[in-house]
Amino acid sequence: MSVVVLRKKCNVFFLFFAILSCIAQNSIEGVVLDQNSNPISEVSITIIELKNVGVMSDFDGKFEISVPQGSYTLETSFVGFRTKRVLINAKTPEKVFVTITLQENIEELTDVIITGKTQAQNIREKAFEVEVVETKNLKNLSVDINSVLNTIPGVVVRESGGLGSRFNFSLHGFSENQVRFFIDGIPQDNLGTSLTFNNFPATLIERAEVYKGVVPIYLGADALGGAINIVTNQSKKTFLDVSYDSGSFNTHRATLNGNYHNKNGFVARVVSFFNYSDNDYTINQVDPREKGIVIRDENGNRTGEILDSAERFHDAYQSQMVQARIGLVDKTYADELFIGATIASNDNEIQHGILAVNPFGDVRTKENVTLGSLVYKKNRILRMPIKLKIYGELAKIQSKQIDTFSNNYNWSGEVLERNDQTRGELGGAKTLFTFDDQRHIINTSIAYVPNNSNTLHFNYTKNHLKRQGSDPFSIFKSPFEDPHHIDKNILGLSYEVETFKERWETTVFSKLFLTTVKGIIEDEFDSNAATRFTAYKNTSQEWGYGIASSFDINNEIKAKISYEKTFRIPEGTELFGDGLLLSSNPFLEPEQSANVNVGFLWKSKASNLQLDVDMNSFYRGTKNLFFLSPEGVKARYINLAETRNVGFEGEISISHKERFYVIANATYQYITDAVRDIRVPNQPYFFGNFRTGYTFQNLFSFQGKLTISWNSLFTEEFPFQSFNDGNTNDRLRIPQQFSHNLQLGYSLDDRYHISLQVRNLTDASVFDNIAVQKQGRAFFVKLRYFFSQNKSKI
Amino acid sequence: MKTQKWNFYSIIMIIAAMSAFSCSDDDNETGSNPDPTATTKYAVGFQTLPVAQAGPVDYMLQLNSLESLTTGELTVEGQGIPQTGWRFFHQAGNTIFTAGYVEDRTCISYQLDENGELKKKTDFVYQTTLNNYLTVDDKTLLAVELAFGVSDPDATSIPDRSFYEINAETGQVDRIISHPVDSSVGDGTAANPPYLPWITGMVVRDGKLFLSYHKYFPDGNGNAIAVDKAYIAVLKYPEFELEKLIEDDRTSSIGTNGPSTGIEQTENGDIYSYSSSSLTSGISGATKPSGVLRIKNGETDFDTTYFFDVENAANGGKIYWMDYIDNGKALARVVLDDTLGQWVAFREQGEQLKLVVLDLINKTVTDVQGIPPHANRYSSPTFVEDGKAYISARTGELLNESSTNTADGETYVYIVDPATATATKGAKINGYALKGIFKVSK
Repeated sequence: MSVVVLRKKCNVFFLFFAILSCIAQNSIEGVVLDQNSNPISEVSITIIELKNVGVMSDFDGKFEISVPQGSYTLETSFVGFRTKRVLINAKTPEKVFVTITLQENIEELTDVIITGKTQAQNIREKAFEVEVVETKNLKNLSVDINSVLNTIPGVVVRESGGLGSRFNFSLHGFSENQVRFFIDGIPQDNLGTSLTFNNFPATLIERAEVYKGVVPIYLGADALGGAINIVTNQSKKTFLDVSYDSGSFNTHRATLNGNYHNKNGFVARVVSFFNYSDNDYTINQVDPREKGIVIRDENGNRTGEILDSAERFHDAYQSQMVQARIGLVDKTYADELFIGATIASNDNEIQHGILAVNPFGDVRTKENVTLGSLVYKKNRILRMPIKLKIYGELAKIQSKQIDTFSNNYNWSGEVLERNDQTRGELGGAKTLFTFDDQRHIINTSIAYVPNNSNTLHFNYTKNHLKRQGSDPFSIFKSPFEDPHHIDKNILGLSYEVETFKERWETTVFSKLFLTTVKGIIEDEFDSNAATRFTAYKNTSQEWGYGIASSFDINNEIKAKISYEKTFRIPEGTELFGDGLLLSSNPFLEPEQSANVNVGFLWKSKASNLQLDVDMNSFYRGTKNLFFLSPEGVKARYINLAETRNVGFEGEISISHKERFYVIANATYQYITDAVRDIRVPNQPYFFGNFRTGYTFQNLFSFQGKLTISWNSLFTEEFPFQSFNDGNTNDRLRIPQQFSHNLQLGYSLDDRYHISLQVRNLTDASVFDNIAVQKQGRAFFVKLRYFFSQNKSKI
Repeated sequence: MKTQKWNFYSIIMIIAAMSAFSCSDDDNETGSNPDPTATTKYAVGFQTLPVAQAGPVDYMLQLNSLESLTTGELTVEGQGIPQTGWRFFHQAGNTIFTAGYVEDRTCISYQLDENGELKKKTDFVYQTTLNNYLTVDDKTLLAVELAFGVSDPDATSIPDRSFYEINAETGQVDRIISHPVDSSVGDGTAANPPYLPWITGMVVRDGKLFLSYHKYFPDGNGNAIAVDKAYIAVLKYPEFELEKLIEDDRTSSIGTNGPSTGIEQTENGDIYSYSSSSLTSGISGATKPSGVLRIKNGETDFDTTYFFDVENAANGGKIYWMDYIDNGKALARVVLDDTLGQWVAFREQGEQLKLVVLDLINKTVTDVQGIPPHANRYSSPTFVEDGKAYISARTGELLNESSTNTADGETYVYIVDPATATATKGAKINGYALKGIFKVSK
């Protein structure tokens, strides 16, 4: 970190300090933290005795100043915090290391909180097209991460039911494996359904970052259309956060999140959740072709009875997770060293298949995940401004499909006599099919930050998956009986530079995707052991690259442009099939896409009113998209589809200090099949949402806060199969969706919280998928207790 | 003067012609008919091209006249009733049935309503896909489910086959009968493997139900064992009692995946079968020639004096699909290259098949002139009117494993005269295929 001259004159100050250790000569190194141990960036640090010598703390709150030997007084000041002076003894030729903890200046803070940038604002103002949602105001509500992400422009989360149901996360028309998910930078693919984002209550996280189309290298994955990174509470201080909520459909959710930090730098942490719901909500359509619930007899014929509504009767979901970590922080050999273990599981009753016409009453899936991890972080390596972060993980994921009953059900929930008792409910053989997956992750990140305006960043992610299938119920071969190995190695290099007085920021990057997929294809009719098994191995090497650039046109307006050429590597299943009816295609090429974003941010402030406008237009051009091509009784993935997506999204936010906010956003996208030049159906193309809230401060008590908030979600009707084909009257459509939620919350002393939520206030019939109805009106109450030790640790 | 008169007449003529034309147009559009009881309509199962990553969509499309198939272009833009999931199309009497494969296990029936418009009659649902169909008569459609995996470790036998008797008038299931056909749990040795019957064709004749089948290894992998024999089961009908199993080792197992025409009955009551022996058509390990066998009228055994070796006949080859038309003649698609890999003949676009006329009596193979090498994945029983067969065929580059598209392919209806082995190009289909062509009356 180079020394820069500070022209700014500093205010009068208050003094507080701590010296941790001394290791190098003529150099003062340190970190600036707030009371919660969160690093504070852009704090000015000056030396009283040496005129015009000073630095700014970096993104991680770190700084370094070169000085002649002697005793000095460091002065740190930052808006919203009390200025501090720290006495430094740098007489010996060793490096001085200081941790400076700033106290919030409450009076000042209430006036200037909006001008002080939050971490979210910092990220939002990066050159990448990224949306950041802070969950600060959502932690007290009965919401999961998916419903938080669903409010982001460009994002649609399409659900097939209530809590824990199958969902399709779509970002600018990309979905499934085309969008990659991360928690604290660690890829979440292949971790199963007990750790997907619909399991995580918003209470457990700090913020969500959604990178649209152009993904920074530190999120190491083959993300074709973008990536979502969830950031959990990184605070090192001691705290306890407990919540419980309950509501309609016998829904219960609880979280326990705590951290213990002692003065020796020992940290112990636990993050956990529990979710349960019967999901027995009322529906009034199951067939795309007609309203009402048709009741059928044992032959599948209509009985003539058509009910106005029915309750879902086999849709309960339960999931739980405990993650524990212990480690050391702020040691000379490591800034952070943690080992951790996670166990998670779920149990999911399946009410119906993709269409809801035929209900199930017995089929379920179960999953178990066990995971061990290691984290190491060091912010200076070899006395150089090099930051190192290493993450390693071993995970075992077992997912089981249980279909061992031959009962047949109708939508009244009645069991019907069935003549064939040998097959399962799904229509095929009875099964206890189990996937045994093993996932190994290594993530290494190295950043070289010679000064404030240049950063060189290298990231390596290894994601190895071994997948094996077995079916104890089967007397014959099971799918995936011969294991697949998928070894993805993603190397990224990026260079970030700020010039023109930090007005112009540009990141150029390149990613190398090295993949090896190994599998065995068995010919069970070949009795010759030597030729019975054929080992297949597929290696691919793809270069992706991109650029993201932003320019401050003036103090209020920032222009942003970004581009990435990116790939999605086929999964083992797509290359090798499942060993049964899904055939292999070792010639499958990666999906590829060229993604462009052009947008601007406008921030304006008039007295206490803050206006934020974020506009973005985007282009996505894909090639070689996978298509499931039928061949006789079998099918295989081939590279077939090409699409274009041109769209626009915008968000306007008006806020008044901490009192009220109004946020509205909308997205319009036009997705076409690029070969046939016709619009792609079954994709929401016009959607948006509206959120508003008001907080009454000091209500009932000096520390009491009452918040009332409202949000509305809108999705325009879209066709299921085609925009043009079929009689207008017979064309199948997912109807327009317009639903509203109302929340009321009371907080006392930032410690005790209670909230009431009414979801789908008007009890509208809402659908994300054809004839698969979502929940009607529902009520939830949530209690939360949050305690944090504010006392300085040093 | 003369010129003027000529003009006057021509104007009259033009006006008359125009009004006549527009009148007939109106008639067609409204579908009004002075006697609605005598309405006749054509209908097709229309399969569109895929859009992006979404698979093709099937439509039930009514046509007012056969000319829609002989000239111009046929599209479902703005017309047709969309279906969900991949579907079979079959007809019994004046009812068209469309049954979903796996995504939508619903069978919907369509009939002409009082206005002569094709309308949904009703539907029924089933738990296991109905895979093979027989129009028993104008009143009954027979369907059989063909799940081909067995897993229950407690199973002491292969599950029975479930036959659905569907009433053509009501569109509902009259009864479901489960009955064993031919199966074995094996004895754990390679010489006696387990198998279940995979039915490829059904014929009802003189109170007997004939079923042609493959012996599928019941691991769900879609592979047949012991393919070097042709198998037929004979059951009493409608009692569904197994009478006998017959086999013949001159050719391979009968029929191919998809069509219901593995065995068919001719005008004189003879039953003919086709055996493919083709790897590209999905049959692995066959060494016997592809050909046609016969069961004579009144017999319940293969005719030992008759075998039509289509594979080794002049112009012959391995049969992918065969459907009997009339006068001893059948149309067949023959695989042009059997080294493309298992199941490749089923790809929906390509030039892997040629159309031939098989003279079953004289055992000759004649290439049909006027139709290029093409692809066709699935077809309902062939629609024949005035002795001409109407089929749909798609040409274009074979759908490959990587980097292909459907933009350069073309689908046309071909009107084939089996007597002369010639085809004329009919309407262009703005889709993958017509899965079935039907004629219904009210």
